[in-house]
Amino acid sequence: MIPSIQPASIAAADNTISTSLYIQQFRPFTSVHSTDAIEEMVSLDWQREAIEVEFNRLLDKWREERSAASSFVVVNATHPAYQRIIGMGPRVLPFIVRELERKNDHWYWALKAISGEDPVTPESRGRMREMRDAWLRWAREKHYAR
Amino acid sequence: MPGSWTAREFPNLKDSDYKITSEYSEEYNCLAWAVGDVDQRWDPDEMDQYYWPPGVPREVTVAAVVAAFQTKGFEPSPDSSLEEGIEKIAIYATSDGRPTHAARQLKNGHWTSKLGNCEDVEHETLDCLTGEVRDAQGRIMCYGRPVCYMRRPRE
Repeated sequence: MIPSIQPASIAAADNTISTSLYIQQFRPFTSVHSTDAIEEMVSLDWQREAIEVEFNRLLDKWREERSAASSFVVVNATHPAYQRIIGMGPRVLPFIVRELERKNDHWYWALKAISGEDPVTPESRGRMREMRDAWLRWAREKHYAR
Repeated sequence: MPGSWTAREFPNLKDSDYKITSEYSEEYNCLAWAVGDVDQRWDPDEMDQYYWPPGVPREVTVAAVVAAFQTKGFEPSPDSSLEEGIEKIAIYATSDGRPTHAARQLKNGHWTSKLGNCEDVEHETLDCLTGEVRDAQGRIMCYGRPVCYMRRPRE
């Protein structure tokens, strides 16, 4: 079983992250012995962390600047930060799903735009709880959520 | 008592202009509230995620909103005056023609509005929700002003 080693936990004192140090700590816990393979896994882990940091930054900006009083979702879905989140592509889906699990919000534009899928039945359109349930069910099927 | 909206969105709204009549809710929006529907959000979004009456164009235009309300028995009205036995709706739009909001007239002549994702309010006039302030991206964040009215027999 591969332990959850976060790159940040082995960051050097100057706040840079050492790949070799990461590999050194990671290798004993995996059957993958190729340094290239481990480097690829480490790289993916770092990419995921970078995506999460960027998603959280855009999320904060969107929540701060969006209109609470608007009744048309297009107003907030075309906010530059929301559009940037869509532009990050499928890699951001786990983080959107995580937010949807925490709180029902207008993530449906982004989910459909990124995935190209639509699990919401015509009868559930506009019914926020049913929309959320449908997308979370979809996310579990696609392994974006537990 | 202040609501959960931001002051920048209602530059002409004073505390004495309204009273909050519901909890914060994202389950329905102003268009749904205008026709008495609290179960779903009415929105002609291009992603086809929200409810919009079948057969009505999915476009963010005043004409589409008027057509949506017509499916619930409303017809165009020349004004917003209080009439016995008549229920009226006011549709707001910005100066660039984009619809933003709808308010429903109460029997006492006041108006009731669902403010986006925020609370429902009862307000004495339509003017108190007007305004046209732009955000950092140049987008109009306020409701603009009432641009047309609709009416139907009160149930």
